[in-house]
Amino acid sequence: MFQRQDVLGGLLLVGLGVAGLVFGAPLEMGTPRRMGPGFFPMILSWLLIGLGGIVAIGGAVRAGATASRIAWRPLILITVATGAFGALIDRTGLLLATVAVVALSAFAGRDARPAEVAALAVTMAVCTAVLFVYALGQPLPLWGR
Amino acid sequence: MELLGNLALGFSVAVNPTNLLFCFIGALLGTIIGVLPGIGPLATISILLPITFQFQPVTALIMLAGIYYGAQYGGSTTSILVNLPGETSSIVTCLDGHQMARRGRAGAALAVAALGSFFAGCVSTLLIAVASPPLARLGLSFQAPEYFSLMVLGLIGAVVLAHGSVVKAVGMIVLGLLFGMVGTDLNSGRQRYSFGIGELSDGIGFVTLAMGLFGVADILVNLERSVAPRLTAVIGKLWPTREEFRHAAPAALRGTVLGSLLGVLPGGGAALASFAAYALEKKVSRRPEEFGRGAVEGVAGPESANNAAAQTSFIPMLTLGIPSNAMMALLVGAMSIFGVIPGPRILTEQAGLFWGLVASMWIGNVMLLIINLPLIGIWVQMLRIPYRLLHPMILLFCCIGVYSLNTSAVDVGLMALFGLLGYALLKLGFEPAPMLLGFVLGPLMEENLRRALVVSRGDATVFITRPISAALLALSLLGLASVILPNVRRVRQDAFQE
Repeated sequence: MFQRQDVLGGLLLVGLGVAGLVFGAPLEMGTPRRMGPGFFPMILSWLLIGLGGIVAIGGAVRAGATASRIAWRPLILITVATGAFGALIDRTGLLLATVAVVALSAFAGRDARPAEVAALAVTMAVCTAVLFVYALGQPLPLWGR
Repeated sequence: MELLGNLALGFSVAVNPTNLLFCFIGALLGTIIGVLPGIGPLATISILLPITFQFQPVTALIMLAGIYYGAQYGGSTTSILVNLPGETSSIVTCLDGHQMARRGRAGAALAVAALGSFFAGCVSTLLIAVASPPLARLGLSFQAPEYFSLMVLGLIGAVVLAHGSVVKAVGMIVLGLLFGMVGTDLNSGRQRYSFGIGELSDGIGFVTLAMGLFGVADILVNLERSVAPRLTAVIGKLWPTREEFRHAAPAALRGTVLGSLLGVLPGGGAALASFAAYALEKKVSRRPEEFGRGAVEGVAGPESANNAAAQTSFIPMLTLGIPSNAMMALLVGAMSIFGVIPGPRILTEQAGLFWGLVASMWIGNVMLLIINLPLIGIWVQMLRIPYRLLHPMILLFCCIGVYSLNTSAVDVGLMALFGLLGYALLKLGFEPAPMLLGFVLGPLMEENLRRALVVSRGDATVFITRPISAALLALSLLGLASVILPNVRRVRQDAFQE
């Protein structure tokens, strides 16, 4: 039952709605006449919990599509590649961050060829430096700050 | 004659050499990403947005709009030649377009698609010019309750016309609205959901959200399936025969009318218009058995419709400030970064920008005709680029784009998180596009709700005692009822069968 798309999806919405309530708890509700900062977020969180509940119960009652398997390799490598760019850009600069993101993400696919990836990473590093830093004048640190 | 004066003003802005150049770049980029499967206009515009910040607002908007309608042209090319839609709005073009290609009429199919799109582009540009001023005048009479109800209608419309489960689509919108609450509350100055992270005190950047949901999540989904387009068809002669022309012309006309109407509706847009136009052509045709075997009407109708809708969906966005689809929500976000607030005042206060954009659409359509017909062979070659080389580049541009927006590495991490969320949502059968709509409208909706309730002293009936607001809410209710009721019936039937 917990493999069903709608059960999982509904629970995801309920979870996000509960998070909205919990983290929004310190915000004052106010009155309709003088809406506090918590007024609209609380309405939305309860709506989300309600809608998530409907989706989850609907999925539990009716036989629906099961969620397809997660492809872990792209999921992990793409996320790590993005994280690596974020971690490197301020420390070592655009060139190394580019090499990292291209090299890591290329291996997220099943048909990566090491020599090709190396060539692509170096080419992209040079291209981004020329295009974004010199041609477009974007405020990107080449070698870190 | 006011119209001619306005258009003259528009063309004087649009033919400025810089604007012409960026109109061309936008149309060209749109064609390229339209041809390439795996990257769409939403992701492209998100990626390019930071670069446009150093331009004049009108130049930037001309280019971004060009990418959107250019993608409608390019998307048909891959549908016809390799039976692989470049964009969601050209899925139906595969049905008959590729059949024509297999019969050796690929050139004719491409020409019909491009000419139909061009015709639709010209008509819908004129429609924007004619319909916008009166709509803006109506918009000026709107106050907080009307605006709140209009936004409700816009959001419900997006649900009604979306495919798939209604409840799930509403859930996505509410989630988007909730993400829109992150940051400093403008009224009380209180921090909401910012977890002490400085970058979040101004709210989640909409580029960060859009790139995570559409750029990164799309890569994750694409890497799961292995797509390898095979180029089989020969383009052949470009000019359609007299017989083909006789079938295509009325279909293009019907597609243009239908697409123009569906583009204006909340929730409408290019994809919906192309599906509706295909259904219409099949229904009115005297030879429905030809559909699916290379009927030229099945190319002309949907291709005209998607281009018409892509352009008329600018009408409610520009004149009322209400985006009707995710693409328009992205442009609203882009405009607000430039300090241009879309809405009824834009026609008077930013006349040059508004009419310049409208005029550039016509110029862009002429450019697209040239880019797409004589030069088609070049774009087809781009299909030889394997996805294993494309996805690292797309991810890299996403990273650079998000980072350079605020020179913030935290935003890159947030984008990765939204990528994961988008992937999870897609896996669980949710359509994340309505979320962006909710996200953009969230703060606006809260503000108008607050104002309406202050004026009415906390009396919620203000929304149904004011006639325009009541009418808008009644329409929303009607729309919602029309999609929910058959569902209720179906659930009952299922229950009875068990």
